[in-house]
Amino acid sequence: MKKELSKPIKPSKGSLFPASKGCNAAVIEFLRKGIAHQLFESVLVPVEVPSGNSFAWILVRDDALFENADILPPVMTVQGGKALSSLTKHGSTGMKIAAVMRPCEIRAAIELAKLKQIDLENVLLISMDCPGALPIQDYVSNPEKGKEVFSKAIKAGDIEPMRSVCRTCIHFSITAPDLHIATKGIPDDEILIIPVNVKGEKVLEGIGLTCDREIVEWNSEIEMLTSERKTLKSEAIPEIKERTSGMLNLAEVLSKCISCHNCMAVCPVCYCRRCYFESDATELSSEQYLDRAAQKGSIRLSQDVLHFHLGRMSHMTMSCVSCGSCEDACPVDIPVAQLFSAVAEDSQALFEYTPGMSLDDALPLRIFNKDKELCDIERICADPLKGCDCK
Amino acid sequence: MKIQGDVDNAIKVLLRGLLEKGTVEAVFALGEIGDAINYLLVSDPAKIDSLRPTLPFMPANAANHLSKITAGGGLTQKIAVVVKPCELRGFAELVKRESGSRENLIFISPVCGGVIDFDTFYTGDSEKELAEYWKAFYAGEIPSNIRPTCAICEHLAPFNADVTVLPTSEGCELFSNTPAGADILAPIKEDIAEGQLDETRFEKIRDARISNREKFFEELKLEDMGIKGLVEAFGKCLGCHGCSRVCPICYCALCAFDSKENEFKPDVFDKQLEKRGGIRIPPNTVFFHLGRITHMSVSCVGCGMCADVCPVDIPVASIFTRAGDAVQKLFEYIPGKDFEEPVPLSTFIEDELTEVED
Repeated sequence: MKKELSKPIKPSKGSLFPASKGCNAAVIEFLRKGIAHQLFESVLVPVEVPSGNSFAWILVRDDALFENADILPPVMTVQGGKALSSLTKHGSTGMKIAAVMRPCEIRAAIELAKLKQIDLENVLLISMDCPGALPIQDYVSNPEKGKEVFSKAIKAGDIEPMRSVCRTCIHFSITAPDLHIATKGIPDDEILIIPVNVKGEKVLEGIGLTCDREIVEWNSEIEMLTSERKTLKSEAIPEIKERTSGMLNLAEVLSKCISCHNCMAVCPVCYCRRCYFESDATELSSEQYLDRAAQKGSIRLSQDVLHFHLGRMSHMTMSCVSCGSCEDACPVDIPVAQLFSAVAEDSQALFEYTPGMSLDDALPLRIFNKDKELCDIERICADPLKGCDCK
Repeated sequence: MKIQGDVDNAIKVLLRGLLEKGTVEAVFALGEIGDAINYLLVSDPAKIDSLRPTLPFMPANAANHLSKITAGGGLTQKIAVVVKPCELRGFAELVKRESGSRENLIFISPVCGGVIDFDTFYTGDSEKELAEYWKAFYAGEIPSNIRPTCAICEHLAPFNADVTVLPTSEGCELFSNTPAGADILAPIKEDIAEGQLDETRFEKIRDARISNREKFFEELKLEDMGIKGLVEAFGKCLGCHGCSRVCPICYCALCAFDSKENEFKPDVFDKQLEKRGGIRIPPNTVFFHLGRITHMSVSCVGCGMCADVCPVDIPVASIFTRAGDAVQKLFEYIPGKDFEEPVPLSTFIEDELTEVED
């Protein structure tokens, strides 16, 4: 039953919903209806914090708390996948929850569900067309200006002020939600709510909304934007690869790292309670420090900067959704998200895996495909007689 | 000892000599790696050139590195260590917590004008910032580009240094405070000025900082903050806990606030929501900071690492320094002043705090 509900359908129609007061107000109205029709009891949504300088995830039940909710805040604070994990990692809550998150946050949630860090049983995932997010450090230093820049950029469809990984993101629309709020190519005074699976369809039905609007115009708008982004991406990736290729360049890019591990702490995919690279296993003895210094003449501290980043990369690259949280959290502005995203592009391509697009796509490192896997790299066939694609 | 010329060069001459003569096995000091500044452990005299021992910059509180290097139970070979006064104080607090050993470490520490914050140093023109910094310092003023907690720090001069360095506009002066300090200065002994460091020579900066401190604390109004004020101050916290990871006092391998005990079970969310109508996810944002304050404020050395590492610029260090100031005054304790003095919360004196306890 559960599987049936989350089985994706090919979206072809959606339900137009009035948005005369803007997208945010419309989505909140929709959420209120969902609560009123008892389709879910609470909503996980970003709400502006009391001092007005950022946003926090609030699980809202009391209607008054929707007042400062912003379904698409100018910044990504705690990655939504991480917030949902905090809420459900010890099991499903008794109540049904609707979570309104950016597409890459949905993707992180899907990866975390595969890693058993999220229980999606009672969760309805709702995403929206994402215009990107502003760098958080810029925003908190001047929230008023940030809001202005963000809303201007949305109106103009301008990706330039957004974070570097947002500028090259091609998964900015439907990823793997239950419902998607489409705004691109839709008139300003309406939103198009698209069910992506049976679970989503049932919610629309429950509210009494009919899906009678074709999504063709929205779809072609998304396709056009995707192709623009692909161009930006094809320009950006070789650039960061060149900057970081080889041990020396990589060491140079990471030279400012102060080993605070903020990148790991905010990464939705780095879910380990205690990172291996903070464990006793990576500690050196006094003698080892002195031996290394004697051997090389001079060593940097911390000793494990490269080891940490490469290790973290090897642990999470397959599930990296390029959300950019790591770079936002870096106090010394290392382009860590750009680096990890570029590497993830290659490692994921190797396994023909796109993280967070479906619960049914198994994590590549969890399965072994005896006949076909990595022949092109290993240059040996698991069973030459049987034959495979490897030539 | 008065040395003419660049202060870093003077210290480097001393350090190179120590390595060449085998007085020490290695030198621990700030140095350059490309465009970045990190702590380095150097044993080849030829590699001393890359050091910037007195650079007013703190990529990590050195206490954390020294703790890792010595936590195994004390060094068997000598290392000369060039660190700032608050780093030395942080290390003393760690040693008291059995997270490090001072054995075979020789401490060289400058009278400190404060450190330039990460953003200013790395995104600005660092050489220009440094020029401005030293100009102000030599004029007996507080440089404008330092961490906020540096501008209110009254402990400019190091405690427990074997050698104290006083940077001057002509070069620097070195003072040996211990037999170990005298030993390392011995080869250049003929130049050593007799006597102790005369603290009146930087009294102008210290006085300015003390009066800044009072004003700063008054304006912070921590006493009046209440839970509402704390929610406002920490509202934008991302929960990355970078502040605790870079803190020299937060030495726990797994912070209580990152442990399973601090996570809510599903039914707790249900109940909380029932009661309050809404709940922040992840929960316990203010609780984490208050908890950390109670755990480390008695030993907070005001180094400012926590604020510098905060991705959303919460003035963590200002708030923690203020809380630390109050707790430390209550116990008449200056963290890191003495390697032997017990940490107040690990000792019990029967007559203690009668005025509080009634």
